[in-house]
Amino acid sequence: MIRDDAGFESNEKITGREPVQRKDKPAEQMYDREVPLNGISGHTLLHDWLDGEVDAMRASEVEGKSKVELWTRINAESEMLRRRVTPVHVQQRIMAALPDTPGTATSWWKHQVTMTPVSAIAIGVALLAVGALIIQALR
Amino acid sequence: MTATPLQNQGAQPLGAGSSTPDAEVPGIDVDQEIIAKVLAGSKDSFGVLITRYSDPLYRHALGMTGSPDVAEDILQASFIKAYQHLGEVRGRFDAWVFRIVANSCKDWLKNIRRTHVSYDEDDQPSTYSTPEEEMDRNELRTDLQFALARLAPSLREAFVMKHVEGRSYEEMALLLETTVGALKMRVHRAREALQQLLEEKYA
Repeated sequence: MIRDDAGFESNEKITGREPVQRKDKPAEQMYDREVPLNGISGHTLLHDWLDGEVDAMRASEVEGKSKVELWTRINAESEMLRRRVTPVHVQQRIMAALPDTPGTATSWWKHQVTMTPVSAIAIGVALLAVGALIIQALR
Repeated sequence: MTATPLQNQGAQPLGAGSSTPDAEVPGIDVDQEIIAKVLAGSKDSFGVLITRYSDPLYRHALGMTGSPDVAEDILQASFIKAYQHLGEVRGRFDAWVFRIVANSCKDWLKNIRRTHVSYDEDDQPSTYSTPEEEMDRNELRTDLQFALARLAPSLREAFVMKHVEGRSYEEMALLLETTVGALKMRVHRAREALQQLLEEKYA
């Protein structure tokens, strides 16, 4: 989404000579932007700990005990979800819903066209009839 | 038999297997054999692929949608789609079917208007020792789901793969066909956003 940063929405009078100050965008608008990690401010010891590169004690000393405790709780919750398995009835449901033949499915325009003598004659007759109709219409 | 990245019994980090080319991972060869059997008419053999990969795919769908019912539907539709297009598989079946599920989840997130999804409809048995602990954890679970629902789908996907599924960045990069650096950035952004949303209450 492109936002107008010129400040017109706040009814500021702009003479045209005054420099327009850009407003700071909220941080969450930046989440989807991907830039190299080297030297970015968000790359903290907390991430290193969560990525298994330093121990909790070290992360706690630098980042604060409360943050490490919060992430310990989030990780415990994530662990619970990691143990989830597919309910048995789902596998049975999928097998029952499968079509009879598997997918050699290709798009219709990729299908090979088979031409029998009868269909070739029928197509020829149809083309002649269409041609005759066009000639008649032109006269 | 070596496990492939997506094989059931837990999402295993690729580790030594992750850096090897496809042909050197025995699980991939087994998949190819099964696919050949299915294409030759053995419909039941497809059940082997479902058994091998359903759990990590289900967990991904569950983490992304927050709803067991939706996760089941996405899993079913994805496996049927995979079956219908099985002749088009090039390379690894597990990565291919993962992308079908991942795209379905993101499509669902784009279309959904709900802001709140929860695990309330969950029928899994409780493992908490006391009612207080259960209440406490349920509250965090609900708040975490609220917070996850506010993330952009790509950030949510990266967080779920890293924290819920326990994958390595290398494995994630293989499955999502992107770079480790880009994924680290997404996971870091997701963590920062979640922390902002949750720390006022919990930290």
